[in-house]
Amino acid sequence: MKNNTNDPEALLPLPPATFHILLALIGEERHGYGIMQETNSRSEGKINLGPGTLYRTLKRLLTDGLIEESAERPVAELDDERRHYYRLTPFGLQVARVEAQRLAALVRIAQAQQLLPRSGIVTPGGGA
Amino acid sequence: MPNEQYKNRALTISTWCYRLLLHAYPSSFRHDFGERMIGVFRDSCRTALQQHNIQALIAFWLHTSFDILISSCLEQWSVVKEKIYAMTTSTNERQSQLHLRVARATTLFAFIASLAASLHLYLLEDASPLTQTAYAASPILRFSYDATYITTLAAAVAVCSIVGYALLQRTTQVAISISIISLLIAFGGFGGLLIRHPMNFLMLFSLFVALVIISFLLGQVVAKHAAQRIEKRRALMLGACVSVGSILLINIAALILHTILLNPVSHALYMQGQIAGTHWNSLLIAMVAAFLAMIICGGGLKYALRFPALQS
Repeated sequence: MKNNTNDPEALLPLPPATFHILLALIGEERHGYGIMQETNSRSEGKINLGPGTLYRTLKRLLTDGLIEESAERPVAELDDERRHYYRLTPFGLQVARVEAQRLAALVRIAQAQQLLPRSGIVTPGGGA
Repeated sequence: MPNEQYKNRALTISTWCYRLLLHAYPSSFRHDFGERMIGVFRDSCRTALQQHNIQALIAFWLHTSFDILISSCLEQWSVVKEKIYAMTTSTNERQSQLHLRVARATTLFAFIASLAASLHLYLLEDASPLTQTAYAASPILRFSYDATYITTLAAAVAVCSIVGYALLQRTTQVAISISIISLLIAFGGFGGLLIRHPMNFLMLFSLFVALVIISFLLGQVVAKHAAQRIEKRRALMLGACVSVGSILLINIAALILHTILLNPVSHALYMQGQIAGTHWNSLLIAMVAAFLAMIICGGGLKYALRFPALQS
């Protein structure tokens, strides 16, 4: 079912894997395996999508109109014709932006509660 | 080199196994994404084998098996949910269609019965030279006669609105059409009074317009309420049925009042020879028929307004 409301707020909050996939597609078209590698690398191995989870999420994103399949192909020597490339739609970018703002607001609340330092920069060890 | 062959064989067998395990997913999902998933699996498996060693394959397979288990169950569940939703929607669709048919049939039946009774009354009284004398003697008789006549005309306008909603898409178009039809019916029905008795005409016209507007607004309120549960156009038609029903309720009340006043027992001298001097005269029969039709209409509308619950 295509998202008819065009209201980004209606799709929030996004599951972490979904948000990571949207982040992986910002500014670049990627194929399934490329998305998987990118999310794994961005999350420092914390988000390790299997093919099933990856394509279930991609199916939902396609249905909701957040991403679309791209007809453009990379240069011939780098291309594998079996691969399908995905790219973010303007609506998908809008949803990612609103989700980022939502998360930023949460961070500000955590800072106000002194759970996080004011700078908002968090190291894996938990310090600033 | 033998190690490389071993890895290639492991990759081939793993891919074959993965292809087999894909049958855990719904066929539509497998059809759309099966080959892409196999491609991603093969790439991941190759990377695991190249970057690490054959032991890494066990960890990779554990992760993949868990992924298949969870994602296939979730996908199967979403297919079941979609089927349930489609089934519920289709049942609700059929139910709302049935409700609307009942409303339309009973409303039309009540309208025809009321129209027949009112026409019968009109044909009897309009042709009688004693009518004016009787009316002069009893203002209530005059009032009940006019009310019966005006409400029949207003009900005819409301019936046109049911047809309007069935044929036209927009409420505005129906409202404009109904306004034109109302004027035609009003001038056709009692336009002659405009020359002979302008005051009477104005009074009847005001009553007629008020009836049409109030019933139309009542229909709109019902339609607005119904539109939360059923499709908008059907809700508007249902609202129009309620409009007709509300006018017919006044019509039947006026008809009963008039028939009681005309009862040969209490008005033994009135219309002697034209209405049979028994309780079983044609006016009484027509009134009872219209009254019963009104009860059926009320039952039909009550049934139609009990909407099926929609799946959210």
